[in-house]
Amino acid sequence: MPLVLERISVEKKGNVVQDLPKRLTLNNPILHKLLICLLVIVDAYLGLIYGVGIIRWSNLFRNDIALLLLAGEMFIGGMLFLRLILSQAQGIIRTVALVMIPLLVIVIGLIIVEVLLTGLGRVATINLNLSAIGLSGLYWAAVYLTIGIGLTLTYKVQGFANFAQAEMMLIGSYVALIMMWSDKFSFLSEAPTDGVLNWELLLWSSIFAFVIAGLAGYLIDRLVYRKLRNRNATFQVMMIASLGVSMVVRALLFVRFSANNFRFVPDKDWRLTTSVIETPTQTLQIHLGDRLSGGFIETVQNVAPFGFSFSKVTLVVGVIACLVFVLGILYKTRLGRQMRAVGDNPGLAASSGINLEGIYGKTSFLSAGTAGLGGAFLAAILPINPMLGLALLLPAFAVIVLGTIGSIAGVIFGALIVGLLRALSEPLLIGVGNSLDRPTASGFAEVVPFVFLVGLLLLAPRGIGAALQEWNIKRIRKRVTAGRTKYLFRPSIPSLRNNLDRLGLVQIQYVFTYVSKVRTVIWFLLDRITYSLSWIPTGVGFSLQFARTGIQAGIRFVFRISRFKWNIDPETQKGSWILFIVLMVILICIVWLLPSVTALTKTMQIARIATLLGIFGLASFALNLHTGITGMTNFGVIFFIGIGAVTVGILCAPIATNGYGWSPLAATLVAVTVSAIAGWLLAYPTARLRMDYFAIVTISLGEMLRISLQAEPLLRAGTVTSAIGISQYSMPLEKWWSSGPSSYVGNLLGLPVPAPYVVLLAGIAITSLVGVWLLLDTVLSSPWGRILRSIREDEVVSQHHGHNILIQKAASLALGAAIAALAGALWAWLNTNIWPDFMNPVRTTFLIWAAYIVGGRGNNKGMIVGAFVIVIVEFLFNILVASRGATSMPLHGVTNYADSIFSWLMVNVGGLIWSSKSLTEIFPRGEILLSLPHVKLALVGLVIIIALIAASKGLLPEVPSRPNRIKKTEK
Amino acid sequence: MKPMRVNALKVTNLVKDFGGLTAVDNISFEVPLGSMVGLIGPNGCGKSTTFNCISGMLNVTSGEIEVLGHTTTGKRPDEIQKLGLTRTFQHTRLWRDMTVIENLLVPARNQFHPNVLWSLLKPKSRPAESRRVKQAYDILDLLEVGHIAHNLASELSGGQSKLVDIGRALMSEPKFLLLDEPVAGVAGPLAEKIFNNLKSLSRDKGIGMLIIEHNMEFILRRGVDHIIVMDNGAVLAEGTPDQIRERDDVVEAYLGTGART
Repeated sequence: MPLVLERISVEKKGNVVQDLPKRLTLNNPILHKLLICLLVIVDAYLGLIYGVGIIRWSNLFRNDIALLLLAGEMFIGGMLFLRLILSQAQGIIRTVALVMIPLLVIVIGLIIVEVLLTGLGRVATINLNLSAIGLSGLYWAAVYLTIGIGLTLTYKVQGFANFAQAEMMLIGSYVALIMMWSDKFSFLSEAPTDGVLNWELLLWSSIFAFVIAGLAGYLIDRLVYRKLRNRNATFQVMMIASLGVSMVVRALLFVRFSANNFRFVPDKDWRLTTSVIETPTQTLQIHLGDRLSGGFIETVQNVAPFGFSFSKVTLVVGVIACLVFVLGILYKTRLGRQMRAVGDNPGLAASSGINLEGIYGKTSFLSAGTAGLGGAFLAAILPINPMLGLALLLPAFAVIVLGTIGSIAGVIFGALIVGLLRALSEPLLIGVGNSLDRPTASGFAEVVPFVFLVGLLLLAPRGIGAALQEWNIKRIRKRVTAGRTKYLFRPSIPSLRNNLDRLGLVQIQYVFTYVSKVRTVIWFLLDRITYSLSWIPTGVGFSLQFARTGIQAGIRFVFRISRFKWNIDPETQKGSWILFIVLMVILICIVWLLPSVTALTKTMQIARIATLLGIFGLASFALNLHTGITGMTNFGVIFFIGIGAVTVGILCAPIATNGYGWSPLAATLVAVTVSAIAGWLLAYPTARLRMDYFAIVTISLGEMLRISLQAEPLLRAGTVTSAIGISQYSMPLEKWWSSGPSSYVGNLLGLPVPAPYVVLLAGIAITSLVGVWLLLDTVLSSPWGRILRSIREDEVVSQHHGHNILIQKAASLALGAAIAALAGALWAWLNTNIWPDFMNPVRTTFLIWAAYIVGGRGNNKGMIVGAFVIVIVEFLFNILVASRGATSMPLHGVTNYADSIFSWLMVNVGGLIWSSKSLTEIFPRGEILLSLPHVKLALVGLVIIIALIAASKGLLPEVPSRPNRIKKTEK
Repeated sequence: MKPMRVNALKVTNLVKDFGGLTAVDNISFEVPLGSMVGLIGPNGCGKSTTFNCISGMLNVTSGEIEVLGHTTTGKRPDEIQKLGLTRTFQHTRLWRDMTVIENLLVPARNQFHPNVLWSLLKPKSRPAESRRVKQAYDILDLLEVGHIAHNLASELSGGQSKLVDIGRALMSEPKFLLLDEPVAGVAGPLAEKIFNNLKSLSRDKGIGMLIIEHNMEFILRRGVDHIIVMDNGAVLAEGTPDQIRERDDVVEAYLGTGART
């Protein structure tokens, strides 16, 4: 048995040793690849310096875009070169090269900047303050580790990527804030500075943050993940559920603490400018580009010492303490041994007597607790708001992917590298940005971890942790074969306990027994409480199921009285159609019944709902194709939607304001093509990756585009009020519409004025929705659709049955991306301007995911129903928000009632826990109002979780294809 | 048609090394077209690793594998499959959320070009598709599982899954089959029938087969042409079933004395 285990663990790292003589012959693939690399690099170099080469000669691109493309070309060349080197290196050289990748990538970046600036005849000065970079790197590493430790722990033991981890950190932050506002401690942040640092609040709040966040994590594990485990849910489902959990928790935090920024002040003295550790430093000046005088590197004299604030020190120390604590538990205790056993093989662990659920519960407590503790410290540094979670979660994912998911040593290493990179990128971006007329370039610092992540996945898909582990295994094996195995004495806690009576310390043993008894009672109580709570989602789930069964029974009844005897099974073609039509009729009725003021507003409302249905329906189609049919968990639909919207916007904006003045139709075609190409290319670095890597990469891509929209001048056009955003672009058929058809349609609808443009847009949206639907149904019922589904089920087997996985996945990604880009174009037209915020995943990706899960995986009819439900929910809440305004508004009573309940909960129930100061800080005007948009967010998240637990196939499940026996094929 | 003695598979000095652990140590053998060869040996002796190397799932450390006259070094599994080699897995891996008939249709040959554009232009490509459907039903009938064609693969029993797996492998009209324990978990009489069917397929259509099987009854007495015995990553013995039964070292390492009676 051990032999087999060994073989499995070693098999993963397959090492290709090739014959040397073969590599030196002329017609071998390596030489060809090398030549291609050199060609690309030389072409880009010539283009940048002398203005010749393929891109320049093609004359397709203008100044900045051409430069961007050339820089990109050079980067691709460099990456190909690195990849070639890595594929050929072996043994220790390979390990070293893998660990050095971050540095090599930076060097490539600097070389590109150097060449670019030389070509432009400019010079960039980069100031590197060494202490600042080192210490800030440490600080950022600590920030990423705050989330990363728990993420890795969850990964190691429970096996899934927990998207709710950042929210656990935020819970810790808000616990610290509540403590700060409490009557006992509020004097500390208000009192005048006295020059003495008070540690009391910080210590207490860190303990409470740990415990409360831990309990929250434990509770969520019992309520959600245990139910999923009981249903043998896959890790993919657990990951999606964690997305739902993060939405709910974030929304609840919004509702309680509002979107405002707050800062945790443990004592006013902490915030003094003198509360810093002064470190001597040295500043290096690097000159890149067209250096007229001076060298490449210079040192700057008389630099002021760098101050590293105490609050950052406490964060770093606290996170390191957490790390030591977790490592201690994991590797030095019985619990840790059990946790690792469960992570390796749950079935085997269970059969050797380990209580799986107990271990899962403890792991959740620990991973949420460490995040909460870090959150309390972090709140003293960064202004805290509920959106901070996502902004830190994604780089933390980059960290754990870099360090190989599930490896603790890797995560430390990864955090240090990414932290240092983050700290280093800020001065680099400022220096380079200034010389390239981009003073806002430092905004890209947030993107650096993602760029780095994508680059790394291209080069070393299995991360640095794997390389370290590989090296470690070799080292150990060498040592074992050399016969120098050492046995170290390690005092373990149980043995210590058993030996206490021998030492005559029986009393201490009583303490141990007592403590363990109390612990048992606490765990028992927790278990009971969560058990009773856990009936809530089940109940809601059952009611969902009940509703569906009810509808089915109703249909059956109708058919019975009309003497049909059809079995309404939603997993047959006929049943699926009938259920779809019934659901659509119900939803259309709801839309019809939505309250509105006049006929005009009613028309606009319905047209807007129809357009949004088109947009969300198309986006859900794309998601369904990627995730439901091909099995690639895509958390970045918004990336492709964004490409569509931005391309259409920029190409159609007037030339005078940085646009290109294209016609909407041509722009849409280009947008769809660009997006499809991006989708196709995405397959290359990601097709061989595990599905969780793919999810992380796609969500990061969306964020990259969003931040680029904020920081990159090329992505701005038709400015109105601010420098950021795209506006004033032309709309399809705008002139034609206003030249006649609008008044005709207005008459037709019985409106006093010509019909608004949104009516036309609704027509376009619904037409494209139906068109794409027909197209997709044709494609998916063909052999190609079958092949994609087989890839979803088991891609290794598909490959062994003769299908090229890479190409098929690329095609699926490209088609889905094109559809999403169309949705993006529609969205651009509906909104009439594009702000970076429209790409906020909370407002897009997560809603599309909700539509996908509610509608039913793998069924396009379900996508339409799901999108429709989401759009209607969105509108209902809009109406609720508006109804606060006046008593005459529809649904005013409902809103009022909700507000009063919320206020009662906050003041009378919550008041038992928190001080009144914690309420006045957040609701300064004294009226405690329920933030309805965030209640909606919580509801959407809740629906995702419940649908996954109770009805994992959604409203309209996938219909398997069952071609019948062919009676007589030939005459 | 009398099958020619052409090599369907030729393995020369195959070595597979997992970072210090040599799973397959310099083995060579040949499988001619139209013959059935058994690959036997104790657990962990490298049989499945050999299979994985042949089907392209693992890169070989050194040595050469030729499938139907083409070297497979550096080829992906799907490229090797297109040469005419299909394999099954030891633990049956059907596409679980698809119906049995769909499972059989995926690997079918001549699917025209399975890509987006073609599927748009010729969605079902009727004659070809109905030919494939007919072929799939014929194979299911041959394996006596025609009645479960419309079930989801996840609803099948272990033995039925094995049968569907073999059927799926036959759909691509392979010239060479790698079968990893094809009748493990299938009830006696049916297993015998499958074995006889495989035998007649290999004889009539000239398909070469390499079979891993722990059921010695089939390997030693049901017409396997040739047997390769592996032990500790190396070939311990090679020969006809009768020759193998007489080898003392094989009996000791794997077969047990019961095989002789």
